[in-house]
Amino acid sequence: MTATPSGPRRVPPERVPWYLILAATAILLALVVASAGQYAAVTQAHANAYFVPAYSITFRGTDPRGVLLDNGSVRLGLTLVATNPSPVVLDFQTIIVKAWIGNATTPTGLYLVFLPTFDVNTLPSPPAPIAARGSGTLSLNFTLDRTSHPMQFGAVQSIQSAVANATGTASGIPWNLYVLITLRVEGIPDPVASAGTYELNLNRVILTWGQDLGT
Amino acid sequence: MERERADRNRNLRNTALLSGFLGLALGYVVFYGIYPTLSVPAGPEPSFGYLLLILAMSATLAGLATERLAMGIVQDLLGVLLGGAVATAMLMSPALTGVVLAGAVDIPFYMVHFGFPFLLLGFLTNLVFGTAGIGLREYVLLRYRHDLPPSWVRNRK
Repeated sequence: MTATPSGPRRVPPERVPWYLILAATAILLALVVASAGQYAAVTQAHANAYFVPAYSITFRGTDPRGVLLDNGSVRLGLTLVATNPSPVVLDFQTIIVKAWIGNATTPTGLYLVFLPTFDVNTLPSPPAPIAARGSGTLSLNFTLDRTSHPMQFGAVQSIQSAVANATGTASGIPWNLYVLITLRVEGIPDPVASAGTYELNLNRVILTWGQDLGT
Repeated sequence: MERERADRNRNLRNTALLSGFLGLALGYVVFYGIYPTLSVPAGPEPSFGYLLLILAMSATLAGLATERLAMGIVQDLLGVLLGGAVATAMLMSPALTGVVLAGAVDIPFYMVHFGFPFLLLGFLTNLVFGTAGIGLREYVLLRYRHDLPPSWVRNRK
């Protein structure tokens, strides 16, 4: 018959730190894996997210040649479809749109007509977040008329008149569109102002489409 | 002879395990220091208190499990090297999703460039708190072995 110690088994004191180290290792491993996973996910959003715009330019109130009348207007309809292949959720944040109309009299051959920049949260109905591995759509309309933008409206009228005088019609004038959108990565806080430059835009995915010809 | 070899093997194994533990903690701290907004838990800037807590806790625990001061110093040095390796591996994690940000050779330099203050902090913290842990082991923890039945206590050299 073998004698066995009675009562609860006690842990030798030199083993106690090893049990604590085991528990701490599990916690640290979880933190390491979660942090690396978060980093990889945000990096994937920066590297692989993209958007495709579809736009239309419509003239209202024109003469038979297609030249804008003084009470006419130009409408830019823009639909942005952003695709998010990453496991993080993205929110539309800011949009910059630039649209130039073809103008042979300027050095670039184009004249900047539309230049709206805004925060999507100021829209009457802000767009829904772009789900992880999903896509989101944002539709926008901009209207140019003599009352709201007299200088740009006058420029469009002049360019159309010049083209119509030369060719007989104002249709077929080329446009150049440039769109910049900022998508905010949900769950990633803003860094402090003193943070390194490499940190400043980690929580913002900046995407562009088209050629920016400046202002 | 056999006993000495067994002790040496145990010391080597313990040193390797504790260096790995210190490296894991330091690697996490370096990554957190470089990218506080992308770490878990995330914050707008690295919290010095949190960094120190992680480093001090890991160094003290490693010290409590260390039998000799010389081993503690070796662990500290190896821990810094392994910490750099862990941080580099974390910075390379986007490659798992097919995103290659920089060459494999560039990332360790990037890690050292931005993570050097944290590596240095880890080295010093491991030295101070590791030594404190060894002291705690000798003067507090092992005192309780006198309360144990003799058959449960392994003879120390």
